[in-house]
Amino acid sequence: MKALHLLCCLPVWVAVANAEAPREDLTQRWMSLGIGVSENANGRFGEYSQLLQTDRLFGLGELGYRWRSGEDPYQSARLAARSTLEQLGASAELARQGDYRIGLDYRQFESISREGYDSVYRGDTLQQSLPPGYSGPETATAFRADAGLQRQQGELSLVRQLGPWQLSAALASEDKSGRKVNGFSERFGDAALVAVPVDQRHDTLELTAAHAAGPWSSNLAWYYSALSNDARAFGFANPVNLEAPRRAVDLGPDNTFQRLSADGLYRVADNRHLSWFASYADARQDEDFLEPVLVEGQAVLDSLDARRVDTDLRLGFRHQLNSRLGYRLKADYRDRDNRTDVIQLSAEDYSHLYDRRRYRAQADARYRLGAGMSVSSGLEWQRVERTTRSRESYTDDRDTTRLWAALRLPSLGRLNTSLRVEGESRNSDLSAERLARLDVAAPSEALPQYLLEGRSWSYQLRGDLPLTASLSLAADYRHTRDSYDNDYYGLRGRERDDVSVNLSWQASRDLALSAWGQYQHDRLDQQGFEFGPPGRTTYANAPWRQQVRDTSAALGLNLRWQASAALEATLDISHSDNDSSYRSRWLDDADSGEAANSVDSLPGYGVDVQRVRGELEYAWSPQTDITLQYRYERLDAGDWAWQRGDFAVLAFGWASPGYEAHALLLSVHHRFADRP
Amino acid sequence: MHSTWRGIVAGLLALAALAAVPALQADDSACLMCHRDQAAKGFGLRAHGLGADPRGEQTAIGCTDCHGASEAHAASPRAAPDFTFHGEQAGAGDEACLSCHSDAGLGHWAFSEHAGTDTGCVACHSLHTPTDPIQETGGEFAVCTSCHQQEKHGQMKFSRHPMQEGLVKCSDCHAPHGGAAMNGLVQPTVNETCYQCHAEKRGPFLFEHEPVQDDCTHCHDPHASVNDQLLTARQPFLCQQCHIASRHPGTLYDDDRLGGRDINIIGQSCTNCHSQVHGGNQPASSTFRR
Repeated sequence: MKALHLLCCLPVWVAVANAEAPREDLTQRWMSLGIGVSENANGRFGEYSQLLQTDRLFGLGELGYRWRSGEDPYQSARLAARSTLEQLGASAELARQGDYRIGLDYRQFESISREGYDSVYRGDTLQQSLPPGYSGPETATAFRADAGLQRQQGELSLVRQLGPWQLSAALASEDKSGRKVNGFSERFGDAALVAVPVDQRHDTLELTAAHAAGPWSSNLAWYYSALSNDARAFGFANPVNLEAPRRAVDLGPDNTFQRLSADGLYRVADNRHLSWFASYADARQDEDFLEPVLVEGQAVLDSLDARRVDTDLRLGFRHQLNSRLGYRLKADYRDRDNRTDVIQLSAEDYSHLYDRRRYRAQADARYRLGAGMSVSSGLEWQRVERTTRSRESYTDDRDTTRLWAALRLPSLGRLNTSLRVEGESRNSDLSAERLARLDVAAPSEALPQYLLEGRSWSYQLRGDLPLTASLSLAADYRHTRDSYDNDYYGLRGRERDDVSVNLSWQASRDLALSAWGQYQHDRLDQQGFEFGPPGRTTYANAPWRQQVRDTSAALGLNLRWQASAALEATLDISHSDNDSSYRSRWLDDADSGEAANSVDSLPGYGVDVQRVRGELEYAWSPQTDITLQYRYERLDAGDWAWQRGDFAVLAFGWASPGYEAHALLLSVHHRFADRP
Repeated sequence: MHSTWRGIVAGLLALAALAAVPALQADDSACLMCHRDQAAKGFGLRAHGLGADPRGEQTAIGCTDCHGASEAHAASPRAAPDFTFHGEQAGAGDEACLSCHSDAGLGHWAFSEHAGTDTGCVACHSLHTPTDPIQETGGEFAVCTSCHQQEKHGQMKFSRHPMQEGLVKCSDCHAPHGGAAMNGLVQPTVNETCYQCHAEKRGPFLFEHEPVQDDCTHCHDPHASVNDQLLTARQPFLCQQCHIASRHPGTLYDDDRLGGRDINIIGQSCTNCHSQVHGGNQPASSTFRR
C-alpha cells in the first residue's frame, strides 16, 4: 500500500525535478516563400497597399527565428523579415525579461489617395512649367500620372531595468515621399490643382526614467520631435490665369517640438490611489520667407521665429470603498500659449493667432448591486477660454456640463442588457468684439461651431442573448442628437443613429459561422443666409436651408471550417453601401426671388465597397503548411464633384476613383525542426 | 483497490501532461491533475509559465498566484476558484494582475475607461495560450473591434486609417491601460496625438485657423468617414457650418451651381483655393490660400 502511495506521488516529484532541471535552448525557425498575382496592378486593397506590388506577378516571403535560452528562460531573441501584399518589413529583438530589451523595427508601405490624375504638367519637379505654346487647359494635352505617398519607418528601442529604475529610449524616424494634390490660386476664381512633391522626414526621440518603490511609482519623460521638409518650396505657373506671375509656393518649413513631462501614482492604501501628471511643451517653427512681407511697398518681415508653449497639470484620485462601491475624481488644467507676435500686413490685414486655456473637473462613481447588475454615473464640468489675437485681442468663454449614467440590468432569462444615457449642456459667453463681427447685416467673420450654445444627449442600448448553446445574438443601438441654440447663424441640429447586430453560430466543433450587420445614419440640418450675394439671388440675406444625409450600411459573413485535421478553410465576405444626399431650399421667395420652399437637390454621392478574402491552409506535414489565398476588392464610387470635364476648369482631372482588383497568393510556410 | 488503480492511472496521465510541458511549476501540479488542457495549450511557453529564474531575479508564478489558493475549488471542482476574472469579478480581478504589473505603463489603469466599465485585463489578453493574439501583428484590430463595432464598420468606408491591414494600430493613438494624460489617448491632446504622424500640420503658424488648432476632430473623424480625407462632412457643407459670412461662403451651393462647374463646389471645393487650411506663414495665408 505504501508503494502505491509513493507511485501516486510520483507525478509531483517528477514535476519538481522537471522545474529545477537545466533545460535546453528552445529555437524556432521558419520560412515562407510564395508568389502572388494581381489582376489589376492599380488595385489598392484598402487604399494603403498595392503600390509595393506594382508588377502583376510578385514574390512573397518571410524569414523568422526565435530563441529562448534554456539556462535562463527569461532570455530570448527574435528576428523576422517579411514581404507581403501590404508591406515590406523587418524586426529584431533581444531581451531578458525584467532586465533589458533591445528592439529594432523597419517597415515600408504605400498610401494612395486616389488613382491616376490628368495634369498639364509633366513630371513631379519642384519647378513646374507650362508646355510651350500652352494657351489654356481647354486645348492642352493632359498628361497622366499617379498620386500617392510612400512611407518608410524605422525604430530603435532600448529598455534597461536597474533595480527600482527602468530606463528606456525610443528613437524613430519616418520618411514620407511622393505626390499629393493641392490647390492654389492667384485670386479667387483662378484656382488650379497641382500635384505637389512631398519629401519629409520626421524624427522622434523619447527618453523615459521610471521609478517604482513601495507605494510610489513615478515617470520622468522627454519627448523630442523634429520635422524636416526637403520639398520646402514649389514653383509653378498658374495654368488657368496666364496673366498671373510665376509663384513660389511655401510647402511648410521645418518645425520642432519637445515636451518634458512627469507623472506618477501614489498608493495611499490598497483601495486609494492618487495620480498626477505635469508637462511643459515647446513648439517652434523658424522660417526664412520666400518673399518678404510688404506693408505699403516696404519690406517689414523676412523671417519668422514662431513659438508656442503648452502646459498641462492633472490630478486624479480613486477610492474603492468596498467591493461594491468606488469613485474617481479628476481635475486638469491646460494652457496653450502662442508666443508669436502679431504682425500687420496692410491697413486691414493682420496675422491671426490663437490661445486657449481649459479647466476641467470630473467625478464618477460605480456601484455593483450583485446578480450581474451595476450602476455608474459621472459628472464633468469644463471651461474653455479661447483668445483670438489679430488686429485686436478678445476672449470667448464656453462652459460645458456633461452628465452620464449607465445601468447594467440583471439578466432576464438569458438576455443581458445595459443602458447608457448622456446629456451635455454648452453655454457660451462671447466677447463684445466677437459679437460685433457677427452682425447679421454684414457678417465678416465665422462663428466656430464650438462657440455655439447648445445641448446634446445620447442614449445607447446593448444586449446579448445566447439563443442556444451554440447560437448567440448581440445587438447595439445608439442615438445622438445635437441641438444648437443660435437663431440666425450656423447649425440647427445634428443627429446620428448607429445600429449593429452580430449573430454567431458554432455549428459544430469544426465549423463556426458569424454574420454581422451595421447601419449608421447621420442627419445635419443648417439654416443660413446668402449675405451680400455674388450669385443667383440679388437679395441680401436671402435665407436658405441645407440638409445633408449620410447613410452607411455594412454586412459581413465570416466562416471558419476545419475540414479535416490537415485542412482549414476561412472565408470573409463583406459589403458596404455608403450614400450621401444633399438638399437645398430657399425659404422665402420675397428675399430670394425663388419660389418659396423650392427644392434643389445635388446629386447623391455614393460609394459601394465589396471585399472577399478566402484562405485554404493545408498542413502538408507537421513542419510545412501550404496556404492559398484569394482577395478581391471592388470600390464603386459616384462623385458629382469630380468629372473628366473639370480639366478645362481646374487644369486637372481625376480618373475614376473606382477600381476592382483580384489577387491570388500562394505560399509555403516551413518550420524547421525545432530544438529541443 | 479500484480507487487505488484509478489514482495510479490519474497519476500517470498527469505525469504525461507535465512531462510534455516541463516549464510548468511544481506548485501547479495539483491544478494540472485536472486542468491538463492548460498545459496542452502552451502555457509553459509564456512568461507566466517559465518558472523561476535560475539567477534568482524572477520568482516562479503558479496558478494560485493569480487564481488564489482556491482551497474550496481544490476540495470540490464544483466550487469556483477564488478568482476567475470573469462575470462579477471581471474588474475586481485586475488587482491580481496589477500586484505584479505595476510598472510605468499600468500605473494609471484605475483611471482608464476600461477600468471604469469593468473591462478587465482578460477581456483583451489571453494568458493560457502560447501567444497573446492582441500582441501579434494585426491582432490588435480584431480584439479591439470585438467590442468597438463602429470602428470595424468604419473600415468599410471610403476614407479610413488602414487599421484592418495593421499599418495603423488602435494603440498608436489610444492608451487602453489609461494614460498619464487621462484622456484615453497616448498624448495629452487630440492634436498632439495626430501630430505623431502628421507633424507638418503642427506649426506654430503665423496665420492659425482656430478650429484646426483647437481640435482636429472638429473637421475629421479619425477612424473613418464616408467623405474624402476623413472629413466629418463634405465640402463646402463642412466649411459652411462655421463660414456663412459675406459673399461666397454663404452662397447656396446647389445643382444649378454644379451644372456650371463652379470651382467652389467641384474638385476639392473650398480647398481648391484655401488649400493651406491647416495654417501657414505666407502673406496669402491670411485667407489660407498659399
